[in-house]
Amino acid sequence: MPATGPCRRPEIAWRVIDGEAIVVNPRSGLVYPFNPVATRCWELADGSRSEEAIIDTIVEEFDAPAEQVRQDMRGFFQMLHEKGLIQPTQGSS
Amino acid sequence: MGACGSCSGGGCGSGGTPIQIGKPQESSAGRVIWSGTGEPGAGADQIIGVGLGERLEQSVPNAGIRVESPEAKEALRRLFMKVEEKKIPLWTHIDLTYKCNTDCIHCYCQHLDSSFGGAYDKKDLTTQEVIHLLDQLADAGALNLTLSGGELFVRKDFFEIAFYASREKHFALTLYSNGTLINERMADRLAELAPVAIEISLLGATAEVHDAIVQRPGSFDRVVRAVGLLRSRGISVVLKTSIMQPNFHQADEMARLAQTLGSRTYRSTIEITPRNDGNTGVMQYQLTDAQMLDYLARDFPSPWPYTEPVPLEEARQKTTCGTGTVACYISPYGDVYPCIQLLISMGNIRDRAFKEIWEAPSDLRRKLEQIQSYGDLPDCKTCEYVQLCNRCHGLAYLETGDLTACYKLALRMAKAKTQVNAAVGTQQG
Repeated sequence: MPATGPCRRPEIAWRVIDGEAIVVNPRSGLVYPFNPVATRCWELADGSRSEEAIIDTIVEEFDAPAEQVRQDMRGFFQMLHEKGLIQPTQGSS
Repeated sequence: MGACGSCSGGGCGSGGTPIQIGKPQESSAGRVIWSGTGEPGAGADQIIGVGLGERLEQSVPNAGIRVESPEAKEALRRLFMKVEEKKIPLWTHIDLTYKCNTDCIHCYCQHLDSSFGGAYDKKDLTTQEVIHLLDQLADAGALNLTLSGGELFVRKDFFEIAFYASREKHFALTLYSNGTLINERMADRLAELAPVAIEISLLGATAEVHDAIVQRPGSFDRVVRAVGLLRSRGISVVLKTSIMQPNFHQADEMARLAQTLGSRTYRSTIEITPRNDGNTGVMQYQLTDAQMLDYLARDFPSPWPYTEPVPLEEARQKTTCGTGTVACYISPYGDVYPCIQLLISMGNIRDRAFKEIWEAPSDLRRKLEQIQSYGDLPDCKTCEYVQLCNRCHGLAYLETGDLTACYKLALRMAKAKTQVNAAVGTQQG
Protein backbone atom coordinates (compact mmCIF):
# COMPACT_ATOMS: atom_id res chain seq x y z
CA MET A 1 0.00 0.00 0.00
CA PRO A 2 1.45 3.39 -0.95
CA ALA A 3 2.41 5.70 1.88
CA THR A 4 -0.16 8.30 2.80
CA GLY A 5 2.40 10.64 4.35
CA PRO A 6 6.12 11.28 4.39
CA CYS A 7 7.94 7.93 4.37
CA ARG A 8 11.60 7.19 4.85
CA ARG A 9 13.21 5.52 1.85
CA PRO A 10 13.93 1.90 2.82
CA GLU A 11 17.61 1.99 1.92
CA ILE A 12 18.39 5.01 4.09
CA ALA A 13 20.57 4.10 7.07
CA TRP A 14 20.00 5.75 10.40
CA ARG A 15 20.52 5.44 14.10
CA VAL A 16 19.30 7.57 16.99
CA ILE A 17 21.88 8.35 19.64
CA ASP A 18 20.71 10.22 22.71
CA GLY A 19 17.73 11.67 20.87
CA GLU A 20 19.74 12.76 17.84
CA ALA A 21 19.78 10.83 14.59
CA ILE A 22 22.66 10.19 12.24
CA VAL A 23 21.13 9.60 8.81
CA VAL A 24 23.12 8.24 5.88
CA ASN A 25 22.04 8.22 2.26
CA PRO A 26 24.03 5.30 0.85
CA ARG A 27 23.39 6.35 -2.72
CA SER A 28 25.03 9.74 -2.29
CA GLY A 29 27.34 8.83 0.58
CA LEU A 30 26.14 11.90 2.44
CA VAL A 31 25.54 11.87 6.17
CA TYR A 32 23.07 14.15 7.95
CA PRO A 33 23.09 14.83 11.68
CA PHE A 34 19.57 15.66 12.91
CA ASN A 35 18.70 17.70 15.96
CA PRO A 36 16.10 16.31 18.42
CA VAL A 37 13.12 17.89 16.63
CA ALA A 38 14.24 16.67 13.22
CA THR A 39 14.95 13.27 14.73
CA ARG A 40 11.44 12.95 16.13
CA CYS A 41 10.04 14.02 12.82
CA TRP A 42 12.18 11.39 11.07
CA GLU A 43 10.98 8.69 13.44
CA LEU A 44 7.39 9.60 12.71
CA ALA A 45 7.92 9.62 8.94
CA ASP A 46 7.00 5.98 8.42
CA GLY A 47 4.35 6.63 5.80
CA SER A 48 1.40 6.09 8.11
CA ARG A 49 0.98 9.75 9.12
CA SER A 50 0.28 12.82 7.04
CA GLU A 51 2.66 15.76 7.10
CA GLU A 52 0.10 17.71 9.10
CA ALA A 53 -0.26 14.90 11.66
CA ILE A 54 3.49 14.82 12.16
CA ILE A 55 3.61 18.58 12.58
CA ASP A 56 0.81 18.44 15.14
CA THR A 57 2.71 15.82 17.11
CA ILE A 58 5.87 17.92 17.07
CA VAL A 59 3.99 21.02 18.23
CA GLU A 60 2.50 19.04 21.08
CA GLU A 61 5.61 17.17 22.16
CA PHE A 62 8.00 20.11 21.97
CA ASP A 63 5.55 22.70 23.22
CA ALA A 64 6.53 25.01 20.38
CA PRO A 65 4.72 27.82 18.56
CA ALA A 66 2.56 26.09 15.97
CA GLU A 67 3.13 28.48 13.11
CA GLN A 68 6.89 28.47 13.52
CA VAL A 69 7.01 24.69 13.69
CA ARG A 70 4.72 24.39 10.68
CA GLN A 71 6.99 26.63 8.64
CA ASP A 72 10.19 24.88 9.76
CA MET A 73 8.73 21.44 9.23
CA ARG A 74 7.59 22.18 5.70
CA GLY A 75 11.10 23.30 4.88
CA PHE A 76 12.48 20.18 6.53
CA PHE A 77 10.22 17.83 4.57
CA GLN A 78 11.17 19.64 1.39
CA MET A 79 14.85 19.09 2.25
CA LEU A 80 14.25 15.40 3.00
CA HIS A 81 12.59 15.05 -0.35
CA GLU A 82 15.30 16.92 -2.24
CA LYS A 83 18.04 14.85 -0.61
CA GLY A 84 16.31 11.62 -1.51
CA LEU A 85 15.72 10.63 2.10
CA ILE A 86 11.95 10.23 1.86
CA GLN A 87 9.86 8.84 -0.93
CA PRO A 88 7.06 10.68 -2.70
CA THR A 89 3.72 10.35 -1.00
CA GLN A 90 0.45 9.38 -2.62
CA GLY A 91 -0.92 12.26 -4.60
CA SER A 92 2.33 14.18 -4.68
CA SER A 93 3.86 15.04 -8.01
CA MET B 1 46.70 -6.60 5.73
CA GLY B 2 45.53 -9.77 4.12
CA ALA B 3 43.47 -10.42 1.09
CA CYS B 4 39.79 -11.22 0.75
CA GLY B 5 38.69 -7.68 0.41
CA SER B 6 39.67 -6.82 3.94
CA CYS B 7 43.06 -5.81 2.77
CA SER B 8 44.40 -2.78 1.00
CA GLY B 9 43.68 0.03 3.26
CA GLY B 10 43.74 -1.88 6.45
CA GLY B 11 41.46 -4.61 7.56
CA CYS B 12 40.28 -2.19 10.17
CA GLY B 13 39.11 0.12 7.47
CA SER B 14 41.29 2.86 8.77
CA GLY B 15 42.85 3.11 5.38
CA GLY B 16 40.20 5.67 4.78
CA THR B 17 41.13 7.88 7.65
CA PRO B 18 39.93 11.41 7.09
CA ILE B 19 40.79 12.55 3.71
CA GLN B 20 40.38 15.67 1.76
CA ILE B 21 39.24 14.81 -1.65
CA GLY B 22 41.93 15.04 -4.19
CA LYS B 23 44.71 15.30 -1.68
CA PRO B 24 46.73 12.30 -0.65
CA GLN B 25 46.76 11.65 3.05
CA GLU B 26 48.69 9.30 5.18
CA SER B 27 46.72 6.71 7.01
CA SER B 28 47.70 3.99 9.39
CA ALA B 29 47.63 1.51 6.60
CA GLY B 30 48.94 3.31 3.64
CA ARG B 31 48.10 5.98 1.22
CA VAL B 32 44.82 7.32 0.00
CA ILE B 33 45.47 8.26 -3.55
CA TRP B 34 42.23 9.99 -4.24
CA SER B 35 38.80 9.89 -2.87
CA GLY B 36 35.29 11.07 -3.02
CA THR B 37 34.12 11.53 -6.53
CA GLY B 38 36.18 9.24 -8.65
CA GLU B 39 37.91 12.30 -10.01
CA PRO B 40 41.35 12.92 -8.59
CA GLY B 41 41.63 16.53 -7.58
CA ALA B 42 37.92 17.16 -7.59
CA GLY B 43 36.07 19.01 -4.89
CA ALA B 44 38.81 19.63 -2.38
CA ASP B 45 36.33 21.48 -0.23
CA GLN B 46 34.36 18.32 0.29
CA ILE B 47 35.45 16.41 3.30
CA ILE B 48 35.16 12.81 4.19
CA GLY B 49 34.93 11.77 7.76
CA VAL B 50 36.29 15.01 9.10
CA GLY B 51 35.30 16.46 12.40
CA LEU B 52 34.61 13.23 14.11
CA GLY B 53 36.73 13.96 17.11
CA GLU B 54 40.43 13.42 16.98
CA ARG B 55 40.44 9.84 18.12
CA LEU B 56 37.46 9.00 15.99
CA GLU B 57 39.15 10.38 12.95
CA GLN B 58 41.72 7.67 13.30
CA SER B 59 39.21 4.89 13.52
CA VAL B 60 36.70 6.03 10.97
CA PRO B 61 36.16 3.26 8.52
CA ASN B 62 36.27 3.95 4.88
CA ALA B 63 32.63 4.07 4.03
CA GLY B 64 33.23 7.27 2.17
CA ILE B 65 30.65 9.15 4.11
CA ARG B 66 30.58 12.89 3.49
CA VAL B 67 28.89 15.87 5.01
CA GLU B 68 27.59 18.82 3.08
CA SER B 69 28.31 21.84 5.21
CA PRO B 70 30.50 23.14 8.04
CA GLU B 71 27.40 23.22 10.26
CA ALA B 72 26.70 19.55 9.60
CA LYS B 73 30.33 18.77 10.25
CA GLU B 74 30.21 20.53 13.59
CA ALA B 75 26.97 18.81 14.56
CA LEU B 76 28.48 15.45 13.66
CA ARG B 77 31.59 16.22 15.66
CA ARG B 78 29.46 16.82 18.74
CA LEU B 79 27.46 13.69 18.12
CA PHE B 80 30.56 11.58 17.68
CA MET B 81 31.98 12.85 20.93
CA LYS B 82 28.89 11.38 22.58
CA VAL B 83 29.51 8.16 20.70
CA GLU B 84 33.02 8.02 22.05
CA GLU B 85 31.97 8.92 25.56
CA LYS B 86 29.30 6.22 25.59
CA LYS B 87 31.56 3.69 23.89
CA ILE B 88 29.03 2.98 21.17
CA PRO B 89 30.43 0.63 18.52
CA LEU B 90 29.24 2.89 15.72
CA TRP B 91 31.55 1.12 13.27
CA THR B 92 31.27 -2.61 13.26
CA HIS B 93 32.95 -5.10 11.00
CA ILE B 94 31.68 -8.65 10.63
CA ASP B 95 33.55 -11.27 8.67
CA LEU B 96 30.73 -13.59 7.64
CA THR B 97 33.16 -16.36 6.72
CA TYR B 98 36.85 -16.93 6.22
CA LYS B 99 36.08 -19.28 3.35
CA CYS B 100 37.17 -17.94 0.03
CA ASN B 101 37.24 -18.88 -3.63
CA THR B 102 40.70 -17.40 -4.06
CA ASP B 103 43.92 -18.15 -2.21
CA CYS B 104 45.83 -14.90 -1.94
CA ILE B 105 49.46 -15.36 -1.04
CA HIS B 106 49.38 -12.55 1.53
CA CYS B 107 45.98 -13.32 3.11
CA TYR B 108 45.75 -12.83 6.86
CA CYS B 109 42.72 -15.07 7.34
CA GLN B 110 43.13 -18.45 8.90
CA HIS B 111 39.90 -20.35 8.60
CA LEU B 112 39.29 -22.94 11.27
CA ASP B 113 36.27 -24.74 9.88
CA SER B 114 37.22 -28.38 9.44
CA SER B 115 34.46 -28.85 6.89
CA PHE B 116 36.43 -26.50 4.65
CA GLY B 117 39.83 -28.00 5.42
CA GLY B 118 40.42 -25.84 8.48
CA ALA B 119 42.44 -26.97 11.45
CA TYR B 120 39.63 -26.83 14.03
CA ASP B 121 35.98 -27.59 14.21
CA LYS B 122 34.82 -23.99 14.35
CA LYS B 123 31.65 -23.21 12.44
CA ASP B 124 30.56 -19.98 10.84
CA LEU B 125 27.63 -18.26 12.50
CA THR B 126 24.36 -19.50 11.04
CA THR B 127 21.91 -17.18 9.30
CA GLN B 128 19.79 -16.96 12.42
CA GLU B 129 22.81 -16.30 14.62
CA VAL B 130 23.88 -13.44 12.35
CA ILE B 131 20.34 -12.03 12.31
CA HIS B 132 20.23 -12.14 16.11
CA LEU B 133 23.64 -10.48 16.23
CA LEU B 134 22.44 -7.68 13.93
CA ASP B 135 19.49 -7.06 16.26
CA GLN B 136 21.89 -6.72 19.18
CA LEU B 137 24.32 -4.48 17.29
CA ALA B 138 21.54 -2.14 16.22
CA ASP B 139 20.37 -1.93 19.82
CA ALA B 140 23.94 -1.10 20.85
CA GLY B 141 23.96 1.83 18.40
CA ALA B 142 26.10 0.40 15.59
CA LEU B 143 25.40 2.18 12.32
CA ASN B 144 28.20 1.62 9.83
CA LEU B 145 28.46 -2.07 9.16
CA THR B 146 31.20 -3.62 7.07
CA LEU B 147 30.49 -7.13 5.84
CA SER B 148 33.51 -9.04 4.67
CA GLY B 149 35.30 -12.38 4.71
CA GLY B 150 36.92 -14.51 3.36
CA GLU B 151 34.78 -13.90 0.37
CA LEU B 152 31.38 -12.86 1.62
CA PHE B 153 29.59 -13.88 -1.57
CA VAL B 154 30.40 -17.56 -0.99
CA ARG B 155 27.72 -17.44 1.70
CA LYS B 156 24.46 -18.49 0.13
CA ASP B 157 22.54 -16.42 2.66
CA PHE B 158 24.48 -13.24 1.97
CA PHE B 159 21.54 -11.27 0.53
CA GLU B 160 19.19 -12.46 3.25
CA ILE B 161 21.62 -11.13 5.84
CA ALA B 162 22.45 -7.93 3.96
CA PHE B 163 18.83 -6.98 3.25
CA TYR B 164 17.89 -7.67 6.85
CA ALA B 165 20.76 -5.43 8.00
CA SER B 166 19.79 -2.64 5.63
CA ARG B 167 16.00 -2.74 5.48
CA GLU B 168 15.08 -4.00 8.91
CA LYS B 169 17.92 -2.63 11.01
CA HIS B 170 18.92 0.44 8.99
CA PHE B 171 22.68 -0.17 8.88
CA ALA B 172 24.86 1.70 6.39
CA LEU B 173 26.57 -1.17 4.61
CA THR B 174 30.03 -1.38 3.16
CA LEU B 175 30.98 -4.65 1.49
CA TYR B 176 34.49 -6.01 0.99
CA SER B 177 34.87 -8.53 -1.80
CA ASN B 178 37.43 -9.98 -4.16
CA GLY B 179 34.94 -9.22 -6.92
CA THR B 180 35.25 -12.52 -8.73
CA LEU B 181 31.74 -13.80 -8.03
CA ILE B 182 29.86 -10.69 -9.10
CA ASN B 183 27.78 -11.35 -12.21
CA GLU B 184 24.91 -9.43 -13.83
CA ARG B 185 22.23 -10.90 -11.60
CA MET B 186 24.21 -10.27 -8.44
CA ALA B 187 25.01 -6.71 -9.57
CA ASP B 188 21.28 -6.09 -10.00
CA ARG B 189 20.60 -7.25 -6.46
CA LEU B 190 23.49 -5.22 -5.10
CA ALA B 191 22.07 -2.13 -6.81
CA GLU B 192 18.77 -2.81 -5.08
CA LEU B 193 20.56 -3.32 -1.76
CA ALA B 194 22.32 0.07 -2.15
CA PRO B 195 25.43 -0.28 -0.01
CA VAL B 196 27.48 2.85 0.64
CA ALA B 197 30.32 1.20 -1.26
CA ILE B 198 31.72 -2.09 -2.41
CA GLU B 199 35.43 -2.34 -1.88
CA ILE B 200 37.34 -4.67 -4.15
CA SER B 201 40.97 -5.76 -4.12
CA LEU B 202 43.03 -4.92 -7.17
CA LEU B 203 46.35 -6.66 -6.83
CA GLY B 204 47.88 -6.14 -10.23
CA ALA B 205 47.53 -3.99 -13.30
CA THR B 206 47.61 -7.08 -15.49
CA ALA B 207 46.05 -10.52 -15.30
CA GLU B 208 49.48 -12.09 -15.02
CA VAL B 209 50.34 -10.26 -11.80
CA HIS B 210 46.88 -10.13 -10.16
CA ASP B 211 46.09 -13.80 -10.86
CA ALA B 212 49.48 -14.94 -9.58
CA ILE B 213 48.81 -13.23 -6.25
CA VAL B 214 45.27 -14.55 -5.83
CA GLN B 215 46.32 -17.92 -7.27
CA ARG B 216 43.22 -18.24 -9.44
CA PRO B 217 43.48 -17.77 -13.21
CA GLY B 218 40.83 -15.51 -14.67
CA SER B 219 40.36 -13.46 -11.49
CA PHE B 220 41.69 -10.21 -12.91
CA ASP B 221 39.26 -10.28 -15.82
CA ARG B 222 36.40 -11.03 -13.44
CA VAL B 223 37.36 -8.12 -11.20
CA VAL B 224 37.46 -5.71 -14.15
CA ARG B 225 34.08 -7.01 -15.32
CA ALA B 226 32.61 -6.74 -11.83
CA VAL B 227 33.69 -3.12 -11.47
CA GLY B 228 32.03 -2.34 -14.78
CA LEU B 229 28.81 -4.09 -13.77
CA LEU B 230 28.68 -2.22 -10.48
CA ARG B 231 29.60 1.18 -11.88
CA SER B 232 27.04 0.87 -14.67
CA ARG B 233 24.40 0.47 -11.96
CA GLY B 234 25.57 3.50 -10.05
CA ILE B 235 27.16 1.54 -7.21
CA SER B 236 30.11 3.20 -5.57
CA VAL B 237 33.24 1.10 -5.98
CA VAL B 238 36.45 1.48 -4.05
CA LEU B 239 39.49 -0.33 -5.41
CA LYS B 240 42.34 -1.04 -3.07
CA THR B 241 45.75 -2.56 -3.31
CA SER B 242 48.26 -4.18 -1.05
CA ILE B 243 51.57 -3.14 -2.51
CA MET B 244 54.04 -6.00 -2.07
CA GLN B 245 56.97 -7.64 -3.78
CA PRO B 246 55.03 -9.33 -6.60
CA ASN B 247 53.19 -6.18 -7.71
CA PHE B 248 55.48 -3.35 -6.63
CA HIS B 249 56.61 -2.81 -10.23
CA GLN B 250 52.99 -2.09 -11.21
CA ALA B 251 52.14 0.36 -8.41
CA ASP B 252 51.63 3.32 -10.73
CA GLU B 253 49.79 1.27 -13.34
CA MET B 254 47.35 -0.03 -10.73
CA ALA B 255 46.50 3.52 -9.66
CA ARG B 256 45.92 4.50 -13.29
CA LEU B 257 43.80 1.42 -13.90
CA ALA B 258 41.67 2.12 -10.84
CA GLN B 259 41.02 5.60 -12.12
CA THR B 260 40.18 4.33 -15.59
CA LEU B 261 37.76 1.79 -14.17
CA GLY B 262 35.89 4.51 -12.27
CA SER B 263 36.90 3.70 -8.72
CA ARG B 264 35.50 6.41 -6.46
CA THR B 265 38.47 6.08 -4.17
CA TYR B 266 41.72 4.24 -4.65
CA ARG B 267 43.73 3.22 -1.65
CA SER B 268 46.98 1.42 -1.37
CA THR B 269 48.81 0.05 1.59
CA ILE B 270 52.32 -1.20 1.96
CA GLU B 271 51.48 -3.07 5.12
CA ILE B 272 51.70 -6.81 4.79
CA THR B 273 51.14 -8.26 8.22
CA PRO B 274 51.25 -11.66 9.91
CA ARG B 275 48.34 -14.04 9.52
CA ASN B 276 45.80 -13.93 12.28
CA ASP B 277 47.25 -17.11 13.74
CA GLY B 278 50.60 -15.33 14.14
CA ASN B 279 52.23 -16.96 11.10
CA THR B 280 54.81 -14.53 9.82
CA GLY B 281 55.54 -16.30 6.54
CA VAL B 282 53.54 -13.76 4.54
CA MET B 283 55.85 -10.97 5.67
CA GLN B 284 58.34 -12.13 3.04
CA TYR B 285 56.21 -10.10 0.61
CA GLN B 286 56.77 -6.82 2.44
CA LEU B 287 58.63 -4.11 0.58
CA THR B 288 62.24 -3.49 1.45
CA ASP B 289 63.17 -0.18 3.08
CA ALA B 290 64.49 1.09 -0.25
CA GLN B 291 61.27 0.15 -2.06
CA MET B 292 59.22 1.77 0.66
CA LEU B 293 61.19 4.97 0.28
CA ASP B 294 60.87 4.82 -3.49
CA TYR B 295 57.10 4.35 -3.27
CA LEU B 296 56.47 7.11 -0.77
CA ALA B 297 58.68 9.58 -2.61
CA ARG B 298 56.83 9.27 -5.89
CA ASP B 299 54.98 12.24 -7.27
CA PHE B 300 52.43 10.03 -8.99
CA PRO B 301 49.49 10.06 -8.57
CA SER B 302 49.99 12.78 -5.97
CA PRO B 303 53.09 14.23 -4.35
CA TRP B 304 53.88 13.65 -0.70
CA PRO B 305 51.91 16.09 1.49
CA TYR B 306 54.54 17.93 3.50
CA THR B 307 54.08 18.04 7.25
CA GLU B 308 55.82 20.71 9.30
CA PRO B 309 57.95 18.95 11.93
CA VAL B 310 57.05 19.64 15.55
CA PRO B 311 59.07 19.12 18.74
CA LEU B 312 59.00 15.58 20.15
CA GLU B 313 57.12 16.78 23.21
CA GLU B 314 54.27 17.91 21.00
CA ALA B 315 54.43 14.96 18.61
CA ARG B 316 54.03 12.39 21.33
CA GLN B 317 50.74 13.96 22.39
CA LYS B 318 49.26 12.59 19.19
CA THR B 319 46.30 10.39 20.04
CA THR B 320 46.22 6.70 19.29
CA CYS B 321 43.26 4.98 17.66
CA GLY B 322 39.98 4.39 19.46
CA THR B 323 39.88 0.63 19.12
CA GLY B 324 37.51 -1.03 21.53
CA THR B 325 35.69 2.26 22.01
CA VAL B 326 33.77 3.17 18.87
CA ALA B 327 34.51 0.21 16.65
CA CYS B 328 34.47 -3.52 16.98
CA TYR B 329 35.09 -6.65 14.97
CA ILE B 330 33.23 -9.95 15.01
CA SER B 331 34.70 -13.08 13.50
CA PRO B 332 32.75 -15.70 11.52
CA TYR B 333 32.74 -17.81 14.67
CA GLY B 334 31.12 -15.13 16.82
CA ASP B 335 34.18 -13.93 18.69
CA VAL B 336 34.06 -10.23 19.55
CA TYR B 337 37.28 -8.24 19.27
CA PRO B 338 38.07 -4.55 19.82
CA CYS B 339 38.92 -4.34 16.13
CA ILE B 340 39.88 -6.55 13.23
CA GLN B 341 43.57 -6.06 13.94
CA LEU B 342 43.56 -6.58 17.67
CA LEU B 343 42.77 -10.25 17.99
CA ILE B 344 42.27 -10.54 21.71
CA SER B 345 38.80 -11.96 22.16
CA MET B 346 36.42 -10.15 24.49
CA GLY B 347 33.93 -13.02 24.41
CA ASN B 348 31.73 -15.01 22.06
CA ILE B 349 28.17 -14.13 21.15
CA ARG B 350 27.26 -17.81 21.26
CA ASP B 351 27.98 -17.68 24.99
CA ARG B 352 26.88 -14.20 26.02
CA ALA B 353 24.88 -11.27 24.68
CA PHE B 354 26.86 -8.73 22.69
CA LYS B 355 26.03 -5.90 25.10
CA GLU B 356 27.30 -7.92 28.01
CA ILE B 357 30.55 -8.67 26.21
CA TRP B 358 31.02 -5.11 25.00
CA GLU B 359 30.33 -3.44 28.31
CA ALA B 360 32.09 -5.88 30.60
CA PRO B 361 35.12 -4.46 32.36
CA SER B 362 38.27 -6.33 31.45
CA ASP B 363 42.02 -6.01 31.64
CA LEU B 364 42.08 -5.45 27.91
CA ARG B 365 39.58 -2.59 28.07
CA ARG B 366 41.39 -1.01 30.99
CA LYS B 367 44.66 -1.24 29.11
CA LEU B 368 43.17 0.30 25.99
CA GLU B 369 41.63 3.12 27.98
CA GLN B 370 44.98 3.90 29.56
CA ILE B 371 46.51 4.47 26.14
CA GLN B 372 45.36 7.88 25.05
CA SER B 373 48.39 9.13 23.18
CA TYR B 374 51.73 7.95 21.85
CA GLY B 375 53.23 9.41 25.00
CA ASP B 376 51.49 6.64 26.96
CA LEU B 377 53.40 3.97 25.07
CA PRO B 378 56.82 3.07 26.47
CA ASP B 379 58.60 2.65 23.14
CA CYS B 380 56.89 5.58 21.45
CA LYS B 381 57.34 8.31 24.01
CA THR B 382 61.02 8.73 23.25
CA CYS B 383 60.95 7.78 19.60
CA GLU B 384 62.10 10.51 17.24
CA TYR B 385 59.85 9.22 14.44
CA VAL B 386 56.60 9.44 16.36
CA GLN B 387 55.19 12.39 14.44
CA LEU B 388 54.78 10.48 11.20
CA CYS B 389 54.20 7.08 12.73
CA ASN B 390 50.80 5.44 12.50
CA ARG B 391 51.05 2.48 14.77
CA CYS B 392 48.35 -0.07 15.40
CA HIS B 393 47.83 -1.74 18.79
CA GLY B 394 46.65 -4.91 17.11
CA LEU B 395 49.50 -5.26 14.68
CA ALA B 396 52.00 -4.50 17.44
CA TYR B 397 50.37 -7.31 19.41
CA LEU B 398 50.44 -9.67 16.47
CA GLU B 399 54.07 -8.82 15.80
CA THR B 400 55.37 -8.89 19.37
CA GLY B 401 52.69 -10.23 21.69
CA ASP B 402 52.53 -6.84 23.44
CA LEU B 403 49.98 -4.30 22.26
CA THR B 404 51.94 -1.42 23.80
CA ALA B 405 55.18 -2.36 22.08
CA CYS B 406 56.74 -0.69 19.11
CA TYR B 407 55.07 -1.84 15.92
CA LYS B 408 58.18 -2.42 13.88
CA LEU B 409 56.67 -2.16 10.42
CA ALA B 410 55.08 1.19 11.36
CA LEU B 411 58.45 2.39 12.60
CA ARG B 412 60.09 1.35 9.33
CA MET B 413 57.43 3.27 7.46
CA ALA B 414 57.74 6.26 9.77
CA LYS B 415 61.48 6.42 9.07
CA ALA B 416 60.82 6.36 5.33
CA LYS B 417 58.09 8.99 5.64
CA THR B 418 60.34 11.23 7.73
CA GLN B 419 63.05 11.01 5.09
CA VAL B 420 60.63 11.78 2.25
CA ASN B 421 59.02 14.57 4.24
CA ALA B 422 62.38 16.20 4.89
CA ALA B 423 63.31 16.01 1.20
CA VAL B 424 59.99 17.57 0.16
CA GLY B 425 60.43 20.27 2.80
CA THR B 426 63.88 21.11 1.44
CA GLN B 427 62.52 21.29 -2.11
CA GLN B 428 59.76 23.60 -1.04
CA GLY B 429 62.32 25.84 0.63
